[in-house]
Amino acid sequence: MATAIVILIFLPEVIYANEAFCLYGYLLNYFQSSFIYNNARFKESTYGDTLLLRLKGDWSPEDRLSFHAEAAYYGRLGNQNPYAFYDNLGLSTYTQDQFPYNDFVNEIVIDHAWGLANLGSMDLQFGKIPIAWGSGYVFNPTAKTAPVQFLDQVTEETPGTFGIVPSFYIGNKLTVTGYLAFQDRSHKTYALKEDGELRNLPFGIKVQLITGPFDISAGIIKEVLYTQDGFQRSYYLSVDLDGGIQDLGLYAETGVRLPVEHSRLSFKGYNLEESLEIAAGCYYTLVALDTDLRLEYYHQGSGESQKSKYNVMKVLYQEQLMLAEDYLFIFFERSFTDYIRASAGSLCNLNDGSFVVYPELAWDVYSNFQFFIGSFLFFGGKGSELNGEHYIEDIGNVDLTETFSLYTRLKISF
Amino acid sequence: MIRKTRFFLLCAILLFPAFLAHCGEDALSIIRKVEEKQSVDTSKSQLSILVFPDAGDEKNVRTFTVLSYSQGDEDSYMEFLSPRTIRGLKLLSKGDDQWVYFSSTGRCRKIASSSKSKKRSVKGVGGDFSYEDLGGGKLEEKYSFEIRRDGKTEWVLEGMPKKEDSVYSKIVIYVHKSNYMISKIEYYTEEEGHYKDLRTDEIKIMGGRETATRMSMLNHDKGSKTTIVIHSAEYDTPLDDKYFNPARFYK
Repeated sequence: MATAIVILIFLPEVIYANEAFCLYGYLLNYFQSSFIYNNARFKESTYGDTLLLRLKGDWSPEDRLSFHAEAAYYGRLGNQNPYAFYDNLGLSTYTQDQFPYNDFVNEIVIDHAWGLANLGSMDLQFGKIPIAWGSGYVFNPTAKTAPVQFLDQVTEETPGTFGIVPSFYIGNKLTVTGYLAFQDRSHKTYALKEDGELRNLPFGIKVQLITGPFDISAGIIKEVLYTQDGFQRSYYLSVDLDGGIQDLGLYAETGVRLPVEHSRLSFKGYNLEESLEIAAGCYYTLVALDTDLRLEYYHQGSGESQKSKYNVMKVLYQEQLMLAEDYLFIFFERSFTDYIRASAGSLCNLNDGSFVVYPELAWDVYSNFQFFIGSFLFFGGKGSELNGEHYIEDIGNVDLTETFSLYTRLKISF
Repeated sequence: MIRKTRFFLLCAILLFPAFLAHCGEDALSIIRKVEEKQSVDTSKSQLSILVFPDAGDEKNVRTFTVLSYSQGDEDSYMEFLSPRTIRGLKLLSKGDDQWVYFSSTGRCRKIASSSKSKKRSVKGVGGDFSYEDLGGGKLEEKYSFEIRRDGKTEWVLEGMPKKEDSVYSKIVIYVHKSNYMISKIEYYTEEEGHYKDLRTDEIKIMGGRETATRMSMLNHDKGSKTTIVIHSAEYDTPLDDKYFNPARFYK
């Protein structure tokens, strides 16, 4: 893998003089201090750091062909290390010292590597591709190809998925696009015999119409997810709207799980309400205050409306994004100058009343150097989702989130 | 006598062609000639945007490099090449509709076609050119013009918006009589009054046409300045349709 990255870095430099090639990226350092506050006392504090180096390359060997690759190096330490996090909770099924040759701190991945051929009124994209479906800002019920990086503070890139993405354009108004993926949504890092079965290949197809104030798309998605119970296969009807009326931006995105079992229609045990996942939002700009406002509502039919029924393992195994049914996301951002912005966001669990607030100050110190400082503050009653404490069978009560955290993010782009 | 009269008439025609050409021109025909002169089927240019937060401080500047394509009066495509923080950000305008592609998330979004938010500068860039300034559309379709001053070397035209939800309450355009090039545009809003000035600093022959290669927007409200420098331009060359397709421009 490291050799591949060296090739990615140096080979195109040789070619640079003749063909349009650009190598760029960023170095990001994220440092987080987390505190658990209980009975008017700081019970515990932890610290951690993530270093991310992301290299991106664009190369267009001729007019109708393009190539893009992104490689990432992660160094995760302290409370930012997922292995340490799961070890600490007692959720790991092994200890790291059982694998002395594995590196649990450093990781190098080629996240995106795709080629795109423009074939007249058709595009063919293939490789490891970020398949970013959906118009939602926080929740995307129609994005079914990659693990969800929910409110990720380190990276906003959509993970690449092995697949083929053809798109057909009928004039400027109508597009038919789709994907055939070669890996399940979990992006697990071990290979199983069942991965090669036709029924375990995810796909999606949608028709997009661009007309009037809204871009509208509708399609069918097959999601394949490897979970603690093996492969799960689900079919969804997807609908997406993106546009606005006057000054108000509006969008809505829904994925409705279809009553399909073993590739056949089956209404046995099917509940439409439980099968519905929808994100709908709006945004508005207060021009006089140079402030953006955003609201997004999310309904997850498979979630629980009572906190006593929460099963945190479903979230840890990515079978569900969140535990409850209904959420509201609120966000505002104000620019003080062209280069200094203050923002505050909040995600509220409308079922149990718990919520998280995260204020942030962003400063573009130079064109290519950004500094961010912010905090996460969690609020909620005992047993609520964002309070942090959850019961896991065979383990007992575990605290998944801190009471509050402070972070800084330094980013140099090159 | 008849010969003499013809001679003087010929002299008048030869010596005062500009006078004859401009005599009796109304505001609409001037604006049409200005736009006709600038009108191209397609254009392709590479330009820099220099943002000066303080117009008086030339050292404090941030530079953005942009690839820009346009087609007809309505369609324009912009791709940011630098700074690297926003490399790959792409904007497509088709009339009043605009889409933005964020390369980091891989998502393309339609921007609510609001008049007020079009007054804002492009997100991530800042500066004094708004979405409205960078969007397409003909001046004569947006404003009703009349001549405010008919000077020796230039006309001063005043444009009042035709639509109620216009970003600007009034614009004033200075047009050179010799070449129908715009030397200055003043922008007025209800709130700020005299809000911005767009000044043509340099005109060169580029791509076989007279091109304003350096323009500055001075924001009187903020005291800031943004300069656009055009490094290269080609006109009426074939462009791939994909750049003007909202479902394809970012691929």
